[in-house]
Amino acid sequence: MRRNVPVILTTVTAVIVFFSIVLFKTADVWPGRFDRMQQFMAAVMMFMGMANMTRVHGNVVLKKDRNWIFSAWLLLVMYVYAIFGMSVGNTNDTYRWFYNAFIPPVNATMYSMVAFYLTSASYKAFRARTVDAALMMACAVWVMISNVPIGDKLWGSESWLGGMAGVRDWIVSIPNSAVSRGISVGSTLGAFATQLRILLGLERRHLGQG
Amino acid sequence: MTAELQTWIGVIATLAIFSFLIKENPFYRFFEYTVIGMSAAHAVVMTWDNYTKPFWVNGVMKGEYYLLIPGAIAVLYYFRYAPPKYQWLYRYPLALIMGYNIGYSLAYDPRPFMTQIRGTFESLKDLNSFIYLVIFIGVVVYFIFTFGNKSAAVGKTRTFARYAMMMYFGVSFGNTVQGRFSLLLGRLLFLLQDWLGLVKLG
Repeated sequence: MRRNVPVILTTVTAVIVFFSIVLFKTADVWPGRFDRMQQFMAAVMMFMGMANMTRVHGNVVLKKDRNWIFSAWLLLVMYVYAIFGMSVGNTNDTYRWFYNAFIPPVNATMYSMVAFYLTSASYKAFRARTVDAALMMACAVWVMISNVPIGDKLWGSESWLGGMAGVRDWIVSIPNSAVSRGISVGSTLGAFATQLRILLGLERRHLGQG
Repeated sequence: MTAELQTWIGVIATLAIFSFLIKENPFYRFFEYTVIGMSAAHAVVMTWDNYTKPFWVNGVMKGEYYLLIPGAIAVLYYFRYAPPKYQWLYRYPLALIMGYNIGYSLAYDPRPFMTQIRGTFESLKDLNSFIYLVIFIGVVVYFIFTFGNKSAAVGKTRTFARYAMMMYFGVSFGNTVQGRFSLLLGRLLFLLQDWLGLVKLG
């Protein structure tokens, strides 16, 4: 009941969904219904993130750990904003006002700050000690320079091979695209193998069974 | 509440987050925790508005009673945080969702995957398409023979594929750096143009 039934349930559901799609071909009655069932399940589980935050930060507040006052503030903000948003809807002007005032500026600044850390990280990573590092550095530098006006000044797009931008476009459309496709095929094969292992009950880690 | 006040909050938030570059401080932490809380709430509000409410109002209330069964099973997922004796119940909704996704993926995924492989072999007409094919095969060999192959040919192919992948990572890194610098310029422009009015661009 605790260990084997969930494994059997996974296999049976996968087989039913697979054959419903293959036999009905299009999103007919049953594939459509399964789709709606899965979406409704995900919608019911939506409070899981908030529950987890409450557990983690609630423990910090209860134990009065370091920075507990910020955890208490986080919980207050989260519940007030969620209850307010669920009662008035996400298109409400006041709701959007608070969203636009806080979330985009902080998110954009957080991501932009990575620029400083990338600069120091690239200094460490790009000391061309090996062929691998040298190739990576050369391509990164080439792409960065060819994307800015100085690249066109150094080797103009009107000249041989289309200049820096022409070589960059070739790197992106031939070797880069081939690697990207190779990685996607490799990862699809890996995902396919993992799915078969779960289907056959050989892989149970997602159910907390090692 | 005015647009000016919104700009001021944006300015204070931007400066607070940038202050982390000097040292972690309460000013930074306040905005960090505020936005984490708001983002978690926003995710719930969006799901509530776009899925839960429409499913209930336009589905269950209009006769799609079969939705109540997966809905009831989904509630069991919250037993993840119940006392250890009852925690195993969370496995049932998880098993159903995994089963659904595996069935769906096995039915739909092979087609685009096979189309990509066919597309690689289909248009061998110039040098570029052969270079493309050689790199593609090299990378696939790299992933298939990850463990336990001592063949010299496979070893050389894997080295070649690694070089190609390093070029790929270099291009991705270059694009990421430029994307981040573009965001940084956007934030500086927000401070210098929208707030202080020192610069006039666009």
